[in-house]
Parts: sequence; C-alpha cells; structure tokens
Amino acid sequence: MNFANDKSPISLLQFLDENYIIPSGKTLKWWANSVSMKYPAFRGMMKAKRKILSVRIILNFANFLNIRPEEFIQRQNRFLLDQYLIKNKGQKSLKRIEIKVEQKLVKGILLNNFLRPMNISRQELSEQMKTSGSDYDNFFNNLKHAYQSYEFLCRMGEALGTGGKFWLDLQTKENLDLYLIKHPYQKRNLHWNPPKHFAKSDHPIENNQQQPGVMIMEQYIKPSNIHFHHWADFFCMGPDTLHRIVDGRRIMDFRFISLLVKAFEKKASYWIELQNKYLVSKYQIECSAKNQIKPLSRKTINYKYTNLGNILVMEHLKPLDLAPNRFGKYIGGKDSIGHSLVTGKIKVGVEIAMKFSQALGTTPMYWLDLQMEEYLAKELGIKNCTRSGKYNTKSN
Amino acid sequence: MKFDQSFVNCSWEEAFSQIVSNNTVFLDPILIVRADIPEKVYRFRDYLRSRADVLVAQLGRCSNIKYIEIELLLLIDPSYVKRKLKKDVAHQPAILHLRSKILDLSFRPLILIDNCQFLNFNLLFRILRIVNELEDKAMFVFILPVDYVNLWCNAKTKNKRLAFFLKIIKYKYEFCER
Repeated sequence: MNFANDKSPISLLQFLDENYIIPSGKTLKWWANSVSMKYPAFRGMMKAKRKILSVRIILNFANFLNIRPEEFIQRQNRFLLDQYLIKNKGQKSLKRIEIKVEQKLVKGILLNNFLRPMNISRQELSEQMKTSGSDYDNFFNNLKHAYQSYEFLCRMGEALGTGGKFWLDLQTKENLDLYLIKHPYQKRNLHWNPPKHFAKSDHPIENNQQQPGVMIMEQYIKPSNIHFHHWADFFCMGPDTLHRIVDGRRIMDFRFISLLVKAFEKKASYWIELQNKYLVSKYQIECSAKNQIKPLSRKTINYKYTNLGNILVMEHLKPLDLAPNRFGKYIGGKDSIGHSLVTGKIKVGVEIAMKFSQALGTTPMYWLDLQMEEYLAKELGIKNCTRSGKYNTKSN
Repeated sequence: MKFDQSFVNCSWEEAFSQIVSNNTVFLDPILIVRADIPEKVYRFRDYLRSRADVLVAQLGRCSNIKYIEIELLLLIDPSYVKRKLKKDVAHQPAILHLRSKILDLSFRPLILIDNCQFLNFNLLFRILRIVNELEDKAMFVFILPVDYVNLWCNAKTKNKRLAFFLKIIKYKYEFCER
C-alpha cells in the first residue's frame, strides 16, 4: 500500500469507508459483526468520523480484510502527524542534541566516532579503563591539560584500541587552539596539526623514546657554550624550572615550545611530536603492564525483551552521554518523564515523536513505528518483541 | 649576518618610520646599524624624542652599566631597582614590575635601546628575557654604530652569546645617512 504520494491524507476510518465499506454494499450491522464490534458503537464511530482508531479495532479490520495491521497503523500515524504539523505550523522546533566536534575535539570524537558506533556507554569505558567515573567527569569538565592527564589518555587509547598517541595528539591540539586564542601572536611559531589516524598501528612508538629535555640539554644547551642560567633567562624561567624540564619532571608547555622554536631550527611540530611520543613510551614502560587494559569490541544490543524506552536509552541517550531525566527535561516535560518513558508508562504519541525526532535527529515516523510495534506485540500477546516488525496475524 | 641595506641614503625619519611600520604585526625585535657621525646622531635622537610612542634607553659609558641599564632607563623608578639589587634579589621582580608598567600604558610602546655597543653581554640573556616577556606588548629596537658591526658579526668565535643574540633578532637593517 503506497500512500507516500497522497496529497491530502485522509483519516484511517475515512479510508476504510471509501475503499472497503461503501464499495462492499453491505450494511453497517454486517460490518460491525465482521470486525467483532457492537452495532451501536460501530455506528457511533462512523457517525462521529473518529480520527483515531484503537489498535484492537485496527487489528480486527486487518484480520477481516487479511491485510497487515502495520499498514493501517502507519496510515493513521501519517495522518495524525500531518494534522499536527498543520496545527503547529511555524512553531519553534527543538535543537538537535549533539556535541560540537570543533569545540571539544576529544569529547566530540570520542562520542561520535567511538562510543556511539560501538554502542558503549561512558561507564563501561571507564570500567574498562580501570578508572572511576568521577575521573572521567573531571577530565572532561575541567579540561585538564593533556600532559597532566597523559596516563588517562593512554588508558583510553588502550581501551578503545587506538593507542594513547592518538588521544594525546587530539588533546594537545585542543589545548593548543585554546592557547592560540589567548596568544594569537604565537600562531606563526606554534603551527601544528595532529595526524589523522585511528588505528594503533599508525602510531608505532618505541619503548626507549628519548626524553625531550635530555635531547635539548645534549644537543643544544651543552654545545652552545652558554651558561645554563642564561638559557633559563632566555626561556623566561628560573634555572630550577629549566632543570625540572631537562630531568623530565616537568613537561614542556606551549610557551616553552614557542621559545624553543625561536632559539633552534626545529619547528613546533617536531617538539610536540617528540614530547607526545615520549609520554606514550613512558606510559608503556611504567603503567601498561600493570594495568593490563584490554580493548573493547563493538557491542551488540540484546533486543530480546526490549521496549521503546530501552531503545531510546541504549541507542540514543547513552551514546550522547545523556540521562533519561535530563532528556525528559530537554523535551519540555517534568523530571519524572524520563523514567516514565523508559518504563513505558508514557506512550509515544505524535507530539512526543516530533520532539524526539527534533532532539535526536531521527524522523518522527521512526518513533511512531516503534510504538506501533510495541502496541501490536501487546495486543498479539508476543512477549519477546523483536525489532524486525514482522507480525503475522495468522500466526497468532 | 645579513643586513637589509635598502634604507641606505634615506633620511632617518623616513627610514625609521618605514622599518617600524613593516613590523607592527608581530613586534619582532629589530637591529639597526647607524653611521657614527655626531651631527647625524644628534638629529636622530631629537627625532626619536619627538615621537610619543618611543621609550628610549640610551646606554652610556658609566659605572652603572654593569647592572640592568634598560630597566633603569625604562619606566622603573631607579631607587626601586637599586633597592632590589642591594638585597641581591633575583631578576624576576624587576621584570614583573617592568611588565606591569608596560601593560598599564594605553599604547604599544617602541622600546629603543641606543648605543648597543655598551650592552653588558653578561646580561644579554636578561635582555632577551625582557624581549620574550614583552613580545606581544612592545617592540624592541636595538641601535648599533657601524664600527661595531664587524665585532658583532664575527662574534661566533669570540662570544657565542652575541651570535645567539643576533640570531634571535629577526630583522636587521643597515642605515647610513650620507
């Protein structure tokens, strides 16, 4: 049944009336008997031109006419949706919930390229990384410096099978962008872009990576024949701080790297790469064997006993790192609406389907179809609802 | 060391304003080599004093030179620095003081250090530090008489600090008013 090209959609009852009841030439009483309804109720329904038919009535019609009930329900949903759109024309729509990748490079790529496609929640990732959930929150909310949290990033790399270098590079880029907003005059000294590779094999890191501080000391400071404290003056720091960098107790910041670029011939990319490689090799030597983090694999969702609420949470909210209650608030309901959605207390009607679609970037029919499957499963007594949507009325 | 000689035979005013205006985006330190003819130099100094955005530190042959002349001659109260030096306090407070003074100004100053032949080379890296600290706030112009050019250029064997100093200064101009 193709109703996609219908210019003016008609209600399901009108459709049934025009296509089946009137052409048949039978009386309303005969039809009422055929669809297992009482005559007065059936007559009242026809007289009032009811726009919404219950699933039970639709099933009866479908059974009698030997047509799949989904087609009738979809037609009804389509009609209701059009009515809603006409009624609420020009109404401001909700903004789609998404993480802007440009603004939060690490978080955006983690959610959009890893957690969402792999169906992994934030909690599962932090469990795999053997860190607490609060560590994860602190990391993203406080925007810690990449170098302070290199161990966290390396753990994340191991858990996602990308290697720590990938995440360190991303975090460095994020911090560099922030630094350059504050210090735009450093742009010519600190020009660097991370390599775009996801696989671990793209970042081969040797375990005995040289520490940048030692390299600076051996290759530049000692041969220069200039006293150490003069170099400290040049780098705008005290000799103690420079000692800490040379020893590897302190990590080179962007200010230091910009002065290195000024003083020596190497570019900023050389120093940043050197430092990131060193940090990864440091992690590999010190912590990797101790932590023994295994990479996560793509998780398949078990739909065996699932309902619409579970699909909403598992497929849409978890990858977005969003709690059902917060989502409920976002779409304009009370706090409890989130819980009610998950448990199935609230049924998805046209209005909720529209809001879902606007917030999550799906079509409203997707949600209405899911709700239809749930109704049908309930009516037909199917306990294990599958998402295939194959309901054979005859099998019941 | 290569000098840009395109400003040879220009007048001081013309050359100086062009050199400075070419470098307003990044505020790199500049080295200008001038002819050491007294009359011309006096006229040049008069011109500099007439510019509102220029802070001149004119180094001279006197006993104080071994200390941080530039800070003394710039906005800092001499008694403040002397007091700090007596207590043998590190260089840091003086720099912070200088930086705060520069930040208070409503314009980006042009700090001109004349007579660079008198620079105390033990303190060269302190000057580089000041340049680095103020790289976004002020432009530094070092002026050296032409007689000292050879001394500076051949400094690699004599004094590596000078060579490094020259390396850091990005733009070098030779200016000789005939």
